Amino acid sequence: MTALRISRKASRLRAPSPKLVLAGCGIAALILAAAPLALDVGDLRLIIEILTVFAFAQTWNLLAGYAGLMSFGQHLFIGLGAYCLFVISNRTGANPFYLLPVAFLFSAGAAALISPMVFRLRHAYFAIGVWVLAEVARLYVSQEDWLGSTSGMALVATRDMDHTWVALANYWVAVALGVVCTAGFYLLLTSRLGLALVAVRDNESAAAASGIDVWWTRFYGFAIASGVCGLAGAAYYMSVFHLEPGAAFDANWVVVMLFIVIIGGVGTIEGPILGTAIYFLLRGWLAGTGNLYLMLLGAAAVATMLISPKGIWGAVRRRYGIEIFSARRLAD
Amino acid sequence: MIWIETIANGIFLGGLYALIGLGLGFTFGVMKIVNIAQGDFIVAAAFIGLALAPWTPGAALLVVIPVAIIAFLIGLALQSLLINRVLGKDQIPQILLTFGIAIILRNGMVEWFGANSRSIPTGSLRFASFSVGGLRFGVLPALVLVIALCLFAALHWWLRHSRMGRTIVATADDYEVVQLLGVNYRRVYNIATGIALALSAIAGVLLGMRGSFTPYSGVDRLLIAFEVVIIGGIGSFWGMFAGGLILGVTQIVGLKFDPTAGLMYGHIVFFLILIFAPMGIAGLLRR
Repeated sequence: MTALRISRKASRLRAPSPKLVLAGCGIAALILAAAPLALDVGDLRLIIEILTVFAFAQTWNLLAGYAGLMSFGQHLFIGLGAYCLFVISNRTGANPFYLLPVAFLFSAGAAALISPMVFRLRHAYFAIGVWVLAEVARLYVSQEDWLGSTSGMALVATRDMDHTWVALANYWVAVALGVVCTAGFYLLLTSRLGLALVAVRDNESAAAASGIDVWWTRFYGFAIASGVCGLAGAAYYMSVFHLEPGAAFDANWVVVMLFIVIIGGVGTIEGPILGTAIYFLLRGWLAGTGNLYLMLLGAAAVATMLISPKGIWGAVRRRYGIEIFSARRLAD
Repeated sequence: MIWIETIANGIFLGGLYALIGLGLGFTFGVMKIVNIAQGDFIVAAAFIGLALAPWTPGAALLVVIPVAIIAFLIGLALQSLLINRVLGKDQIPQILLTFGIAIILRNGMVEWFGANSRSIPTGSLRFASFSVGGLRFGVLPALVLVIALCLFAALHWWLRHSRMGRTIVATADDYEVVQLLGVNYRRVYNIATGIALALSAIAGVLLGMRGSFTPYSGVDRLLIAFEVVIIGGIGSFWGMFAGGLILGVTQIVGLKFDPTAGLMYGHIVFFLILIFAPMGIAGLLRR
């Protein structure tokens, strides 16, 4: 998108001020955090799942929509984060909740380590390259006894803790993740790094000519998104207490992320919020139809690409000029 | 001695892998598009081959001909009805579109055919063997390698010497300029996708005869195709063939050491090559 088009469009877009947006996020988070007062354990479990799946999708959106890095192997980081937390906690007896930052660092570190290799691949080749690594991780973990091989492992530490407390703690972790993936990403995208990411996505040569280091910008984007994805993976599996390689390193995770992001609108923060709602409504509605349900997700992806490649929120934004999380900045 | 046999079997399998890679590499070479659904089309071709197999009794291999024709037509339809509508500078819509098609195909096959593992019957060919210098080899795997080689040579020749082939090469070089010469590049794309799917379909049927497949095999097939293209060096014909052989040999030798490893050693060799020779085999030779 050229600068000219941005400035012309921006004048039509109505976006609330950043302070108002963050205040709104804060209120929503407070309401969610207080929700256990009114809800039972089953509801909490569903909300945990919704929020962690939303976090997966939002990290994928950060990569594909803002960093221009589409990866079909993000389930690698879900698995890595979860295994990191389970293995360390089970071996040392450490409280898994304190290990969440470790899971983040481990996944981000893994992403940093593989970047020199996978950044040699572009576009679809990059997407599949990371996927191959996820396959390698799945095959490796399935073979190693100390990682529980194919049958996986259970989280020991939370067994002896107070169950109500564990459920609540898991819930608040998920709420915190949801905040990080909306307000946190909003702040990230309006920061220097965020603007550099978008500039690199839109025009690599122009970004480089403006003094942006293209490689390092992508590197930070990839490491942050993958780290948060790993953190969400650890939080997700901590809330279900059990982990196995076939489920953690399952490529269907990417199918879900992709569905949520592109239906909602890739490259917008609102899109995945909308997409997550649609995904869980559809899932509840089509429960028990097995493969038909997955086929429908695929068909929805195809239809979106043909009708409105920017997804539902992209269409709404173009038509009505509404934007809540605006990462654009107007030149004074 | 056993090692010679193992490596020979790896080479036989590698020829097929090369053929899978050829379909993916050809589409990318011509249109700069990667068809993520390629792996699932390969499995679908194997199912079509399975359905048509009773019609060619006695000459099991002939079934690849009708399957290739059907795959060519599917390719034409896929490109003209769907992919051509999302062409553009941004690659994300094309990649996501084919990813969506892959999901539909895979789960559709599970729905209709079930998740069981199958194999295309080849009659007496299945256990036929020949011996060279005291070593025994299967006739079918060797035949399959010969077919793969012939298809590589035929495509190579056709692209250089036929009118359509040259048009495809010219479109691959610059799709904007060829329009000045009266070429409708979208039509060229349709034919290129048709050819790519026909080649992959042949590979899919032959893989289904040599081994077994399930509706979920498409992922492995896609990853193999992708690795063949990268190992060979993007855009290099015979580099891809060598890439296929390397992967085939690695996999068979790896399975000898570690029978549960699956494709793991192939993936690892792929990453080693990506680190030490990022431009692939063709890049090494060009230096």
